Amino acid sequence: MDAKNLARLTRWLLYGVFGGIVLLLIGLYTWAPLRAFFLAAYGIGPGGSAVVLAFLTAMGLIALWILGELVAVLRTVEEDPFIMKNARAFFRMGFAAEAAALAFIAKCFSAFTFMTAVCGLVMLLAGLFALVLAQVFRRAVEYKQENDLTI
Amino acid sequence: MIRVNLDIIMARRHMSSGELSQRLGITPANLSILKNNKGKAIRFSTLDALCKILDCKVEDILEYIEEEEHGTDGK
Repeated sequence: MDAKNLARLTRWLLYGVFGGIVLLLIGLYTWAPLRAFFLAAYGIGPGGSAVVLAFLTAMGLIALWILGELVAVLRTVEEDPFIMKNARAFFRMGFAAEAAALAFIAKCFSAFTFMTAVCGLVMLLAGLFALVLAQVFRRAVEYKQENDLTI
Repeated sequence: MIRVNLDIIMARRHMSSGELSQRLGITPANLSILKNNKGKAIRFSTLDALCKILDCKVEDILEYIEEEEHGTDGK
């Protein structure tokens, strides 16, 4: 499978994940069994549900933000991915992932679960990786521009 | 800064951009970048071919111009 088809397949998978998160976010507020499932999974009683709902909503929105940026980057793979827009997109993804990591780490202190700690660590590393990738892309764009303007 | 005086030499030799780009083996768009001083670098092979085609020296094509210092004293 070549790069274009791989990017296209990944993009469609991301559209699926994006849609799934949107449905979960809507269901969280409109479908009581789903809300009950999430609250039970977090092991928090009805009194703390507003905080958990706010946390889940914030994480869902951050996930949508990251996925949106990723889809925008993957769209450029078919033509020219080495553009400054992508470097900025990776920076934003890194920023969003670090914000999510911060929220997960904060949650570890108030309602610790093993998965919260794992998510916090994963988001922290993913965010750092995206920030490094943003720098790499920036350098690549500079090299490409120099190469394109060498006659 | 380095100024490319390609248009002057081309006018002297009565050579069009199309003909030169064709003989150089580069696209007209790239020749335009070179002519309009928008390029960042020029390959020795391109310079060599330019001198050969236009029957000129490197200094006829490239010229060093001292850039004016932009004031940084806030005036």
